[in-house]
Amino acid sequence: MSWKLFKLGLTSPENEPRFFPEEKPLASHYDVVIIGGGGHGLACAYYLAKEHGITRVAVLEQGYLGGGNTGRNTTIVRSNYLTSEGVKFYDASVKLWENLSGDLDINLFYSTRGHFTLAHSDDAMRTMRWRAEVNKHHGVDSEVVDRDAIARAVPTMDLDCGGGPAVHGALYHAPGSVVRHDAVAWGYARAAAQRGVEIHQQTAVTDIHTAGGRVTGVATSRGDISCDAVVSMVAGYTPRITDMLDLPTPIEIYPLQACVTEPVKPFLDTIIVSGSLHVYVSQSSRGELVMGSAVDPAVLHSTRSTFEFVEGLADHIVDMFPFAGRLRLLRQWAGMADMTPDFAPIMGTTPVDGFYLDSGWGTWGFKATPISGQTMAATVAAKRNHELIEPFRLGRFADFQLVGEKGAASVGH
Amino acid sequence: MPYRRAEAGPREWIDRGRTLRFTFEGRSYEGHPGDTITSALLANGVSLLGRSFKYHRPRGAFSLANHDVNALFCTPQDTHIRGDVTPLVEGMDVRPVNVRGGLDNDRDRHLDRLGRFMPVGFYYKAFHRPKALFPYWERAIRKRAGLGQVDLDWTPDRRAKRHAHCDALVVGAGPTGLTAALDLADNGCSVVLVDENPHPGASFDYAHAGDETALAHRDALIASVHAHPAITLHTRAVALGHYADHLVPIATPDGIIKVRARGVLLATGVIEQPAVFHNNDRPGVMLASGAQRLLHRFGVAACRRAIMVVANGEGYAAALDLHAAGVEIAAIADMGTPESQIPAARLLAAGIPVHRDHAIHAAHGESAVEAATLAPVDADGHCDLARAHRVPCDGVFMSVGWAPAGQLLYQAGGRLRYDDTLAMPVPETWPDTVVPAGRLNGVFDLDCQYEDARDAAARLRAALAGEPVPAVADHRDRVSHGAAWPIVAHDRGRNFVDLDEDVQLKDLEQAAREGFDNIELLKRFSTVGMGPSQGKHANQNAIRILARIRDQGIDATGTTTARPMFHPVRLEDLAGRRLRPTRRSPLHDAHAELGARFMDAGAWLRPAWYGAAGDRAEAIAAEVRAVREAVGLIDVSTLGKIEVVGPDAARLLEAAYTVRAADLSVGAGRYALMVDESGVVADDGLIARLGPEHFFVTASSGHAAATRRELTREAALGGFDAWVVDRTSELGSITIAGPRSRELLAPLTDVDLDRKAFKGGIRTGHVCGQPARVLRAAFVDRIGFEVHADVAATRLIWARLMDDGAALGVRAFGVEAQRVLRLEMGHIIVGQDTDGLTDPFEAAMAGAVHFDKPAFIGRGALALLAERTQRRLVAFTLPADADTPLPRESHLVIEDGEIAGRVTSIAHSPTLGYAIGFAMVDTALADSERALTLRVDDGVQVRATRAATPFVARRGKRAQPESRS
Amino acid sequence: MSFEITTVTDLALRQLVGPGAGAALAEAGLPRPDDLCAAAHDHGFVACLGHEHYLVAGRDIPLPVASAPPWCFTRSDAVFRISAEHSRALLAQYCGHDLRRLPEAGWLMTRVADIDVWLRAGAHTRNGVLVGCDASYERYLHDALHGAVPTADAQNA
Repeated sequence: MSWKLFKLGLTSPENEPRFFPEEKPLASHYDVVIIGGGGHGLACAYYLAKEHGITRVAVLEQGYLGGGNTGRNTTIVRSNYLTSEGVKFYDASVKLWENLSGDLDINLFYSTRGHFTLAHSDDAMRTMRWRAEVNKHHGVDSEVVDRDAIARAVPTMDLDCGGGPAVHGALYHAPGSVVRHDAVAWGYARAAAQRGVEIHQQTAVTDIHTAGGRVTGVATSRGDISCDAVVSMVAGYTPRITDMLDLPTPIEIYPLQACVTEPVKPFLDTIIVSGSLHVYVSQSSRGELVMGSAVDPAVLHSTRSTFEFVEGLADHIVDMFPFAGRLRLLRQWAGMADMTPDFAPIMGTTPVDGFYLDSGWGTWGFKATPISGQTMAATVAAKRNHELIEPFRLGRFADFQLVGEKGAASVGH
Repeated sequence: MPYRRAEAGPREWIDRGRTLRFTFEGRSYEGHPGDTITSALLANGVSLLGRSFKYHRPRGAFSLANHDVNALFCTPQDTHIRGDVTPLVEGMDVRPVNVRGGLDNDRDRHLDRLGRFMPVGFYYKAFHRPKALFPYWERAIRKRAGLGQVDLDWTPDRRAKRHAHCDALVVGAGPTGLTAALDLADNGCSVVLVDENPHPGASFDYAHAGDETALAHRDALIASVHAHPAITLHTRAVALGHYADHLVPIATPDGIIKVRARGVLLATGVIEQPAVFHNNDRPGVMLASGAQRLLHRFGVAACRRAIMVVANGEGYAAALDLHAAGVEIAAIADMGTPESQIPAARLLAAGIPVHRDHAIHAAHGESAVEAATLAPVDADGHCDLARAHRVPCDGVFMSVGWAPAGQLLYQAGGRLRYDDTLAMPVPETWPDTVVPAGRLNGVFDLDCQYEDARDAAARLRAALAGEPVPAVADHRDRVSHGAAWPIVAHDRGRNFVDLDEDVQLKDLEQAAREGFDNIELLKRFSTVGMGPSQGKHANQNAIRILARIRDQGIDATGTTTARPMFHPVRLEDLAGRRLRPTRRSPLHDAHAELGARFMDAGAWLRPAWYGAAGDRAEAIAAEVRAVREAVGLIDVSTLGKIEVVGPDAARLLEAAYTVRAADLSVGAGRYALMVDESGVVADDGLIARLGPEHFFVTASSGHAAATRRELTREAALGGFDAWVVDRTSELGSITIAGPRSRELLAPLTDVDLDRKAFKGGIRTGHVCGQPARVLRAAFVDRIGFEVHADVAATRLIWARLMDDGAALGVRAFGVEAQRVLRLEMGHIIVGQDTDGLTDPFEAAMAGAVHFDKPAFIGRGALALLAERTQRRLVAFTLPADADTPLPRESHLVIEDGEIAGRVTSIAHSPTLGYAIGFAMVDTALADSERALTLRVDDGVQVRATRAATPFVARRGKRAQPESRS
Repeated sequence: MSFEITTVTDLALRQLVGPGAGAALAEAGLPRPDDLCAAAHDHGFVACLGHEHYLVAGRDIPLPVASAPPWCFTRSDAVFRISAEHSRALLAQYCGHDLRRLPEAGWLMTRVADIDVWLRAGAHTRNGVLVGCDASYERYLHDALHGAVPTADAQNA
C-alpha cells in the first residue's frame, strides 16, 4: 500500500494541515487583484508568487472556490488544435499538466487516456488531417487513423453509429487526458496561499476604479481596495466586468451543459469526441460516464439545464455504445461559456492601463488552466503580453487577425 | 430476521394466490406477484442485500422507497437495479453488485478494517508520487470504483417517448395529491396525476394503516380519481425534473412521457431521514417508514424484536403499528418528541418501554444487527455512557425527522427555509404556477393535508385563469416532527451520514477542519450527497453538521443545488426511438436501379458513384472520361432553389449578396456570392432574372436552408416588399455535361441551345414536353446545361435522357466524379477550398464583390479585407510519373521549415494523366512563381509545379470562376 | 391497436404568393383565411402562410400562372392522412405541440418526427388529420409514421 496512506492512517486527523487558510478581512491595498477564484485565477496567483515573487495578491471569488466553470466542465485536457498559435499554447499547457500533481503535491488524477475526434464525412476527415499536420509540425503527437485502428482501440464502439452517419476515421491524439477538475482549484489555491496570496470567497467585485485611464482599485461587497493591477478571469461573467470599464468585446455568453451517469466498472479507456454527433464522452476514475455536447443554440446568461440536451446526447451515445443504453443518467448541470467569434481566447493587456483580461474561454478553457495562469502572471509582471498569448490579444478583431480555431473546438459551432 | 406474516394485510400489493420463482446469488427462492426484489428477499429471511461502495460493509433494506441504494442488484439483462422498487419477475436471476466472491464472503470486506488508512479525501493525498507509479494505482482504483458492470452484448431497448399536455400536473398521489387532483378536475382543469409507486395511496398505505376512517377516505378518493374523465393517472411514473415552461418528463416502464403543463402542484411529500450513530448502517437498521412500507405493502415484518429511536409522533404511530402486527418493540429511545405527540396510554397498554431524552449510541452485530445500546443524550449529541444499557434485538427502526422532497420545487425557482419548529425546511417562495402542498409544505395532520390540498389547488386555478391568487393559508404543524440534532458522536466513528458514499460524521468534521467548510466544497471533497441517491437521506444531516461547525443557522449554511434527475433514468429511455431525417431526390429510385453507391450529404442521400463496391476508382475514372469525351448526367436536385418575387426582389438580393442584381435583364444570370458580416464566404450560387419582379436563385446543397433563412431574415429586417419561396424539393435538377450534351438535349427541348443564342443565364420552355427551365452550367465542363422541372417531370426527363443518350455514350456520374471534373475546370468548392475564415479575395472571387451598389451584408468588412489579403488559393500540378504517394487534402505547404499553407483539393486527373490541385498559401508565396513543397506522410516532401486554371485546356475565354456543389 | 395511415396523392397543392394573392383567391371563389389559419372550400382548403402568401389545396381551381404577380407555384408536398381516432396518440409520439385545439383551428405548422410539417384537420380530410411535408422527406416520414408504437392507452389529457 502507498506509503503516504500508511502515514495518513497513523497520524491524528486533527494534525492534518488546512488546504486553505482561515478567511481574514480584506487589506486596504494589494499589488494585484485577481477577479475570479476558479482554476485560472488561482493558477495566476500561484505563478505570480512562485515565478515572479509577487505575493501581495488577492483573489476575489464571488461564490466558492472553483464554483464556476472549473467545477462544471467535462475534464478533458488536450492540445490537438488547428492553428499554430493554438497548438503551441495548449501544448505548453499539457507540459505543465503532466507534472502538476507533483508540483502542487495533490493527486489530480491526471490520467492520460488518448483522445479520438471522430470524423463522419470526407469534410471532417480533411479537417482532422489539417489538425494532425499542424500538430505534428509543432511536435505534438496527433495522427489521422482509419476505422480499423479505432476498432482496435475502442472495440466496444459501433463504428456505424446505429445506422449512420458512420465513422470514416479519426484524429487520434495520444496525450489526451482527463483530470479531477475540483482538485485543480484546490491544489492551486493551497499552493498560492502557502506563498502568501490571500483568497477571499463570497467576495464580489461591484466596480473597478480608474483615474486617467489606469486602474486604481476595486469596490467589493466587503469594502474597497486599492491596487495597481486588476486581472479579470471570470469566464461566463466577463461581460459584467468589462461593462464596469465600458470595454467592448465580441464575447457572447451561451450555456454549456454536461451530465454524468451512475458509476460503473471501467469499460471505456479513451476519450471519444464526435463533432458530427455533437458528443464527447469519457469515463472518470470514479466510473461515471462524463458527457457533453455543443453549446446551447442561443445566447443566455444562465446555468439552467434543458431536457432536450440529455435527450439528444443520450440518443447519440446509444448509437455509439449500444450497450450503454442501460446506464442511468444521474445528474445534469450547466456552465456559462464566454464564446468568441474565432473560438480562441482573449488574453492580456487592454486599453485600460493595469487592467488585464483572461476571457473568451468558451468550451476550451479548462485545459488551459496552467498555461493561462503562467502566461497571465508573466504578462502582469512584465506589463506586456507574453509571446504565447500575443495572438489572443483583444485588438485582433479590429485588425481582422482572427485565430481560426473553429474547426478544432471539438463539438464547436 | 425478517419474515412474511401469515396474515394478509387488507391493502397488500402482493397476490398470495400466485407464486414466482427467482434466484439470488444462485439460490432459489419464491415470491409473489407484486413483490419487489427487496420484499421477496426479506420475506425469505435474506437480510444481507449488498455491500457498501467504499468499505464494503454489509448492508440491508433501509428506506424501501429508493431513497438509498443499499439494495442494488444486477441481472444478466440489466444493472443498478433498485431492489426496493423493482417488481419481481418470474425467473429473475438476481445478483449483488460490486462484490467479489458473493455477499457473505466478499473479498473486499476487509477494506472496512483499513478505514483509518482511507480518511476523507485520501486519494487526493496519495498515489501521485512517484509519478511513474500513478497509472498502476489508477488502474487499481478504477477497478474498485464503479458499482455495476455493463455487459457489452446488451442491445438498447429504445422505448418510444410521447408528449402529453394538461392544465395541471399533480405530482404524488397520496392524501394531498389525490385531493388536489380531484379539486382541480372538478373545477374544469385537465389533470395528469403521477405517482412513482405501482398504486396510488402513498403515505395512506404505510403511515395511516391503522386508521379506518383515513383508509375509507383513501379508497373513495382513489375510486373517484379512476372514474374522473378529466384525470389521467400514471403509476410507476417518476417525475424526473422541472424544466422551463413546466416541461416535466415522466419516466414510466413504457417510456418517457413529456408532460407540458400550464401549472404544477407538487404533493411529493417528505423523505425520512436517518439518525446518525455507530453502526447505523447494519442490516436490520432501517427507517421506520421503511418498516411500515414493508409490512403493509408486502406483508413482511422486518424483524421479531425491534429497538426504535424516535423524535416525532410518526415514530410512535409506527411503533404501535408494528406492535399490532406482531413485532415486539423492546424499547424506544426518544430524542425529544413533543409531549403531545406521545400516545402514553397506548404505549403503556402495549407494554412498550420508552426512554425519554435517550438516543441509540450504537448498534451491534456485523452482518445483521443483534443489539443496540441506548443512553441518555444531551443537546449536542453526547451520550452519558455510564447510564447506557444494551438491549438485544434483530431490528432497529429510526423515526427522527424528515426532509421535504423539494427537488422539483427548487428547479422551478422555489425557495425553502429551515423551520425550527418543524425541524425541517419548508417552502418559503414559489412561482404562482408551481405550488407545493401537503407534507412537502410542512403540513402533517391528515385533515390539514386535505385542506392544504384544496387551498393549493384553488391558488393554482386562480393563477391559471389569470386571476388574483388568494393568500397562502397556513396549515402547517406547530409541533416538531424531528430532532434538531439526530446525531450521536462515537469514538470509533462508523456513524454514517451518507450510506451511498460511506461518509461518516468524522469525515465531514475533518473536511471542514481542512478548509472545505462551505456546503459546496464540503460536498465535493467528502462526496457526501454525490452518490446514486444524490443526498436524499444525507444532505439534511450534512448541512446540520456544517452549520454546527460554523456556528451559524441552517439557512445561512445553504443548500446544494437540486438537479434533474429525481431518480436516475436509463439513457435508452432518454434516447427514445431513433429518428434520423433523411432527404431523397426525386430520382432516388432511378439511381438505385443504376447501381448507385449512396453517400450522406447532410440530410440528403446522393450517389457518390455508380458500380460494384470494389470498383470505386475505376468507376469514378470512367464517369469522368464519359463527361470529357461524350456526355454525362448528374442529379443535382439537392441544389438550393429559391424564387424571390415582389417589387423589392432585386433590392433584397442586392442587400444579401455581394453582386448587383437589379441590372440583370430577363433571362440573364450572374454568379452570386454571399458573405457574412465579417466578410467570410458563406455560400455561392446563381441569380437569374425571370421577370420584372421575379428572380430565381440557386444555393449550394449544404447551405440551402441557411441561405433561405438569411434571405427571409434580410427581407424582414429591411422591410422589403418581397417574398422568398423555397423550391428546393419542388424542382428536380439535372446537369447534362460534356461535348455531346447539346446533341443530347436539343431534340428534347424547345429552348434554343445554340451557343450564340444561349451563352448564359436562364431560359423558360419545355423539356420532353414538360414545363422546365434550362440554365447554362459550366461547373464540370465547358459545355453543360442544367434542367429544372417539377418532381414528376424530372423523373420523366431523366429516363428519356438516359434512353436517348445511350447511343451517344451517356453515363450517369456521381459526386466523386463531379469533384474531379470541377477541379479539372479550376472551380472551387465553398467549404472545401474555403474555410471558416476565408474571404472572397483569398478565393479568387474578387470579381464577385461589387462595391458600387448600396449597402450589403459584409460590405464594411470586405472594404477592409480587400487591402489585407493574407493568403490566396493557387493551382498546382504534380509530375505524371511521380512515385511518391499522392498528397492528401490538408497536407501542408512548407517553406523554410515553416507552414506556408495547405492543400485544399487534390485528385488524379484521368483526363490529363497526372495529379492536380489547389492550395491556400501565404500571399508572399502566392504572388511569387515558386514551386510548392508539400509535406506528406512520414515527413516526405513532394514538389508541386504552379499552374494556371482551368487545368484542362480549352479554346475561348475562361469562364468566370464558378463554384457549385 | 394499430394506426390507420394512408398516403394522400390527390390533393393538388399550389402556393400563391405576392401582391394580389388574396384578391386572386376571391376572384376564384375561394375563401381568404386569416394568418396561420385554414378555411375549407368545395374541393379542398386554403391556408394562409403569411402576408399575401397562401397554400391552396384542391383540383380544378382557376389560378393565375407563375409569370406575373401574384405568382402561383406548384407544391409537391408528401401528404399522409391519419384517421381521427388515432391521430392524437400517434402524433403524441412525434409532436410536442398541444394538438387538443387542432380541430377547431384546422391548421398548424409545427414539427413532427424532427421535420417541419403542416397539419390540417377539418372538412375534406375524411375525418382525419392530414400531415404534409417537404417532398424530399416523403420516405422518411412514411417510415416514421408507420413505425409509431401502438400504445395501450390512447388517452392523452
